[in-house]
Amino acid sequence: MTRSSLSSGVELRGPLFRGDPGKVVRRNVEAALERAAAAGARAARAELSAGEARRLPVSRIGGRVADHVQGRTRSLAGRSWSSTAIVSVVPLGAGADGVALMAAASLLERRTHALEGRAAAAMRAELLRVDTTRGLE
Amino acid sequence: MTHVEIPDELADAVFLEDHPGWSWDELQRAPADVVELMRRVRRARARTVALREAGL
Repeated sequence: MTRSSLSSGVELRGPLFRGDPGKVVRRNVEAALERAAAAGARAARAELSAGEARRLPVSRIGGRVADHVQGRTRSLAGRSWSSTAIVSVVPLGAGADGVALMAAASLLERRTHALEGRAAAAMRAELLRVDTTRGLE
Repeated sequence: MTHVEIPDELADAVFLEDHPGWSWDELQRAPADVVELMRRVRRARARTVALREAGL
């Protein structure tokens, strides 16, 4: 009687096995959220700026609400939200200037829906283009 | 303020990347209400922080 042995092996090659696929997907998601936040902020600023010529600046701060719109994927303290992009008017604090800015922002949002309307649509559209496997092909 | 979230499937993948103690299999076998609660907490976190930062 003859005895034989058989062995087999699998060689894992290619971009998928070169790095950490989880981290690549994570980076792609973060990049997509950053793009969405930027697109949303652009859309909101454009909408808010549209009628500026017919409106006075916010008297206490001497500027426009649009100047204070920001798209973010992390808190002001710097902590990442990892799955959320936000467009908002960045507050100036709890003082009178901050209250004046937020009051003006609230009024403008009711009139224009720049944030809940245009900015949200721009962000959703940008997220639809997310390519989670970029760098893994 | 307005916000968007990535789809649940992608958010689950990000969650696993953030929590090395969890596996995809464990996440699939976890009770649906537990997973839903985790998703709600994650979705609420960003919005809650942003509202607090705005003093609202």
